[in-house]
Amino acid sequence: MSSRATISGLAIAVLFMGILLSLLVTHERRPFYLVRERYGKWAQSFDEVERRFRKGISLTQPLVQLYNQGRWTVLGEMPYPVVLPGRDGYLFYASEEAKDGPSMTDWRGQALPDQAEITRWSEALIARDHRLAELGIPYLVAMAPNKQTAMPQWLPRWVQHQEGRHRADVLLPTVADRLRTPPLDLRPLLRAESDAGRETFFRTDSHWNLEGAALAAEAITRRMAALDRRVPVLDTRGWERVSSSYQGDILKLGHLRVDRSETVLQPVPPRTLPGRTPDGRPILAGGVDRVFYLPVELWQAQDEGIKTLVLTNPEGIDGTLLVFHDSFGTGVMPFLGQIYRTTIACWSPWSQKVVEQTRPAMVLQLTVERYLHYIRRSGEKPETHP
Amino acid sequence: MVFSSLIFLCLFLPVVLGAYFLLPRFARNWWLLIASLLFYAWGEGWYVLVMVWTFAFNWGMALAIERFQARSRTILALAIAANLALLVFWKYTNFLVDGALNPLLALVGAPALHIDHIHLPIGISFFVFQAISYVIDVHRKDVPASRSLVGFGMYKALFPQLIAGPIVRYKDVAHEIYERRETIEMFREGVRRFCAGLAKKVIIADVMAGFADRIFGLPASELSTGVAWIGVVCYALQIYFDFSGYSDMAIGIGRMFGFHFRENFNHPYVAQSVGDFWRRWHMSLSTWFRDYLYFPLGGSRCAPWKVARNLFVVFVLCGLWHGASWVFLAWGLWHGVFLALEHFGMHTLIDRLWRPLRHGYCLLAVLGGWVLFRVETLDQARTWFTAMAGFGARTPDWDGLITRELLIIGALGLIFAFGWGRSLAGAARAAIDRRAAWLGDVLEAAAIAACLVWCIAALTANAYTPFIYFRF
Repeated sequence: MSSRATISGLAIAVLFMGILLSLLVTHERRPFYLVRERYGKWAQSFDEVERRFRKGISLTQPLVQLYNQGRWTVLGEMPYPVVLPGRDGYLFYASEEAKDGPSMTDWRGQALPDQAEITRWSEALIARDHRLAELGIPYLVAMAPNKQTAMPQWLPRWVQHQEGRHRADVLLPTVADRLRTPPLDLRPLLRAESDAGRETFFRTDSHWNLEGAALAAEAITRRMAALDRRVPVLDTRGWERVSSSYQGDILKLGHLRVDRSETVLQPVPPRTLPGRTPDGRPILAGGVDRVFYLPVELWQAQDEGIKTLVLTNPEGIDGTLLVFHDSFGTGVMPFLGQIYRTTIACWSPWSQKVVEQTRPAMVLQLTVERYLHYIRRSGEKPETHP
Repeated sequence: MVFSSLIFLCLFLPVVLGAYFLLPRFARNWWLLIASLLFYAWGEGWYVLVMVWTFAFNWGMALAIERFQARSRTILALAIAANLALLVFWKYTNFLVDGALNPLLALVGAPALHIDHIHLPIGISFFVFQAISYVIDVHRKDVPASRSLVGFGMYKALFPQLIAGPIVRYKDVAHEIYERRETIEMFREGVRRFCAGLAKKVIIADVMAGFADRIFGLPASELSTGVAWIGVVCYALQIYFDFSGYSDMAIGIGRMFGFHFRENFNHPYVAQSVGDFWRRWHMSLSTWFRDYLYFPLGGSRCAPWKVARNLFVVFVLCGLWHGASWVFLAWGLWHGVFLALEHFGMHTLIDRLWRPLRHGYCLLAVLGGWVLFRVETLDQARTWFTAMAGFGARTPDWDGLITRELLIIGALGLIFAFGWGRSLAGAARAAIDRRAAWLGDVLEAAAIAACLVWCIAALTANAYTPFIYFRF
């Protein structure tokens, strides 16, 4: 063998081993910790070792960014597997369970709940309602739509016509006449508005925009007014609309640096509400206003794990509104915070303890459709999310 | 553990390779055996014992065949029966009970038999076939029985080829098990081959899989003729690049350790008949069936009806080898029918055709077979064939299906599937070498580095991508 072949062979061998080992060398923890953790906890399975390995790779973010950016630039594709690119720049978060790609199982009616799930879900809500009834507190359950449910016309055509019965279609009727107040299904309202040409969801985000959130808040306050006569029904039609640029969570999923923000018109509440964490720390100078995601991010960063936001409105009616919500709740808080003097928003599972500590005038539970998949975690708490 | 996982690429492989070359020669087989058992146990846990039992049992049976010559046929029969029993139990029990026995019981009004789902140890079809070939070769005196349990165990468990082939025969690597030479040139060749396989899997197969899954998930009412054809082409590219990519990686890793495994693919989609296709597709399996079943049954040198019988037996079993279900059986039969037709005269007709037409005929037959291979039920297969025949849904919706990614990666897949990619790369390399050989080496190293980094980035982003052939 020639010396050139030997040298180039050696160079390739070194390069190969070097690239493979680079992830090990840059591992955030020493490799030993893959099998025995810092505090002496041994890995229970090979899966656990693998998880620890993946978690500790410090080059993860640059690698993911390299891959996603490359695919985006060369192929024009959203690389994140659960993202389904829709029409005219709309991106859809396919499903909570779409690990193998944008399966859209709930949209297609392929993920309907079984009897055990129906029972677990409905009994959890009914039990909560009974406990609140004993305390004399009204309880309202509201269901926010998935983006594809509200705006199906922006789905790619190949999947647009495949709509089946959704999990919410099966679950909501099971509690309709068993709760003191029937659940508020926000899906038809948002869909009708979308059909009428209003953009109620962000294009690059899985959540409703403030226009959609305002519509939802109006509907929620209408239902709240029936439970508490003091509650004024919100009407945001006359509110100022400001234009802002926004990059949504779906775009951020893939660590993409893309010039693809969207311009959205957002209604601005007349009052900026001072917000704080339960222990009194401010969440943002100026409170919760038009840039509603910013305070949430700061609030999470400051108060990780608790995820409770307290809004005060000196001009609100007496009492406290307690809201258990998921990520869709952040959008409605600037509006719902206008009603009561205090609004406590818990981005967390249901907590009877919080209810008893705060003794609210009303409890609202706001859940998005896609979280209905979590009922499947049998035996786990909470039975529903939130 | 799969080759396209980060834990394999960035922990297992470099550590095993590094330790292997640091160890003295006598300890290397021990090290490979231990590493291979760990590799298998990583995904399969205690089922590694099934594999350990297979190699220990067959090692002993081969020695017995050699020692007790007078009864070697009986011992061989016993060894084959035990291996097949193992395969039937783990792979086919559920199918035999649910798919065959219970319908019969229902016919006579007897209560159905219920058995729990039996876990299929990964790669069992591969290592059982490997074991059968070993005892037969020893019986035929093609190769002496291995005296070393460690050496034989290492060969049987050798992780590059353990769970998805190629089916490496003992006689092909016997001398390398005990006396192999690892050279820098082989290592380089192994790296090149491994990276090519990884790229096939990550860059082409996984992307095509997304499109194929999407289309095969469409309801019948949405399946137009054009979409059905796109779906089956995507699947054809997916399965080829997935499996041949795995084989390339296996051959490449083997080469790094000093082994020469048989080639498993030779551009099957350029075949001009179904017979030609099977000489190019999964060659280690087709030659296995040829040498250990088709020829012993009489092969092609017997009465025409026997030839037909032999072909059907081989392809029915080939179909069932891929999976315990009616669709795999139908897939085997499909190929068996084409091969029988070609054998009994159709080949003379095909040979007279214009070359592109011969090629078109073969692709049609193979693509039709892939429909059977991919669908879950025969009813679904009927829907697909109806759509492909032009009776699909009337309103094809291309929006969102035909993307730039499909066009680019699909074109790349076709270029490499038909062998043009390799020809172009070879010609470019030759042209560069003529001008400045060092430049060719630099470009090769750069291409390997870029490919590896890109694939690691893709795997990091996508986390987990199982290989199709693991379920066989």
